[in-house]
Amino acid sequence: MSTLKSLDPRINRLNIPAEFGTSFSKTEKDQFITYEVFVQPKVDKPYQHEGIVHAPSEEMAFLFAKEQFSRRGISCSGVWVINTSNVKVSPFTENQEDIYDYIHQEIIEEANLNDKVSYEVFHLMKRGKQHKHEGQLEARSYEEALWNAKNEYAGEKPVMNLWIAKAEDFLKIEGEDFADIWDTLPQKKYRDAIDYKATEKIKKFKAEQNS
Amino acid sequence: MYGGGQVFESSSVNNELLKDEDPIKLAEFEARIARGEKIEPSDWMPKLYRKQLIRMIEQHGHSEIIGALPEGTWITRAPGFKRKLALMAKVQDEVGHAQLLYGAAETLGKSREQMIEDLISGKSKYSNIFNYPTFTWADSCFISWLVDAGAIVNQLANARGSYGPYCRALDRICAEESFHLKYGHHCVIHLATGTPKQRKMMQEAVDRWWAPMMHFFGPSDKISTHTEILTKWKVKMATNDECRQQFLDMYVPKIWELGLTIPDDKLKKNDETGEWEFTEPDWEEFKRVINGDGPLNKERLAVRRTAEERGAWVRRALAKNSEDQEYTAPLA
Ligand SMILES: [Fe+2]
Ligand SMILES: [Fe+2]
Ligand SMILES: [Fe+2]
Repeated sequence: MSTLKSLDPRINRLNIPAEFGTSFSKTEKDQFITYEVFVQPKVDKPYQHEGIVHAPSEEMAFLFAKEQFSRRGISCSGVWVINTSNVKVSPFTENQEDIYDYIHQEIIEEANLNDKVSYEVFHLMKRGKQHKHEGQLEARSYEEALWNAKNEYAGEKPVMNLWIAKAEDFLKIEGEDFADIWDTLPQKKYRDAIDYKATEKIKKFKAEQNS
Repeated sequence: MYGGGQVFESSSVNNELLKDEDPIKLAEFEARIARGEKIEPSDWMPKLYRKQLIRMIEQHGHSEIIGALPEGTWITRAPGFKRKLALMAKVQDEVGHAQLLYGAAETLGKSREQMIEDLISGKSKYSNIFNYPTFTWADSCFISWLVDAGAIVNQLANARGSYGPYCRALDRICAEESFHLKYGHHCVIHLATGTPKQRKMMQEAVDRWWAPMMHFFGPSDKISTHTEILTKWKVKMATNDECRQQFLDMYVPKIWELGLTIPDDKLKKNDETGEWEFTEPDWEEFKRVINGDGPLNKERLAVRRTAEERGAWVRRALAKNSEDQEYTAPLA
């Protein structure tokens, strides 16, 4: 079979067939499942939702998340990843209503209670923005966690959407043990616009052209 | 990076999809957009909105992936260690942009597998400009500076659109693009103010890339599909001509100040209208290339497909322990 002829020697070395049909199909979950990624930009800042990665395991999800969401900027102090399926999501409220106004004591009355575990709670305050970590609390079910969240976190500003997940379902890379992972961020100035100054060179060039 | 000239459906297809939408829900949806609120994945949305957004975001994602190919092959030949580092970082950013965009499209219900399938089988489009070859290092510099500049014009406009996940992805992308633009400008300045040989090399790249650059923003508004409803829904935020004019206004003076010429003797700003005038681009060529017959369409897809096929065993090995995991679409 003939191979693709390219201008580029690197492409030629790949020995790519010159002709492919137009059919191509991928198997289901060839790209794995998704993990939601939360990043803490600084020690005293809350974790914030940044997006997703596709990964076969949470360890791989962390590696991808680190590359994708924490390779830029000058600091990062932690990354959490969690399988998307493990996050419970509330409906959105309308007209500045508070989602906590819809959570009543009845929800815990019918809930199945298990052992007490920790839950992480995230708030969305405005459409278009990102969910931010509000805090951790203990509960014996998701329902109880919602009820406890209402008692602990409901405030003056309406919350329009809630995410809640068991703390044990997250892979959390943070704290002293991992601090050096992001140590080299400030050294990567070549990734920043500010490292490329040109005004002087252009000025000098123009002056030479005019003389 | 990315350009305009997205391929939207003709209006008859649009009307067909719109016909049986619930008028009350549609009115609420439109009122939300008119108030300047973002639409989020779990909201009710018209089928047509979902369809056109998927198409647009997916095309944008594919453009980032394919756009990494012409620059990526220059990393090993970039002049000097600093340029290699920077170009490697830029190409990594572009591939990262594709990940962000695919994620945003996924929230609308199209799987990543399906998007990759549609790219490789030629069903989905990507920005036309990446079907042209990079002969020299100067071509790579042209892309880094000016193709990215064009993309920024487009992306800044789209970042004010109505779909939350797409806007969030674009905010992140635009922040990184400022480095691409400055880096690219720096590279071009270096060549354009250098030795006669360097200057010649840069000029030849400008000559080669000008026509594709004019095509980049898509066909003139006079001949492109009408998209009023997409404008109303804040899917399309600026017309092709508006983006092209803005690009010319910002960058033609910057090209000229480096002593480079642009291969279009009609190009000038009309002082009365404030608009740039230029030779009408060859829209037949644009159509030919978008339909698969450009200099490198075949090669780009063949390279992408080969990477996909030759990497399959790695994904299969990794998937061993995760086969029973349940897929849930991204949340935001
Ligand atoms: Fe780009
Ligand atoms: Fe870029
Ligand atoms: Fe990009």
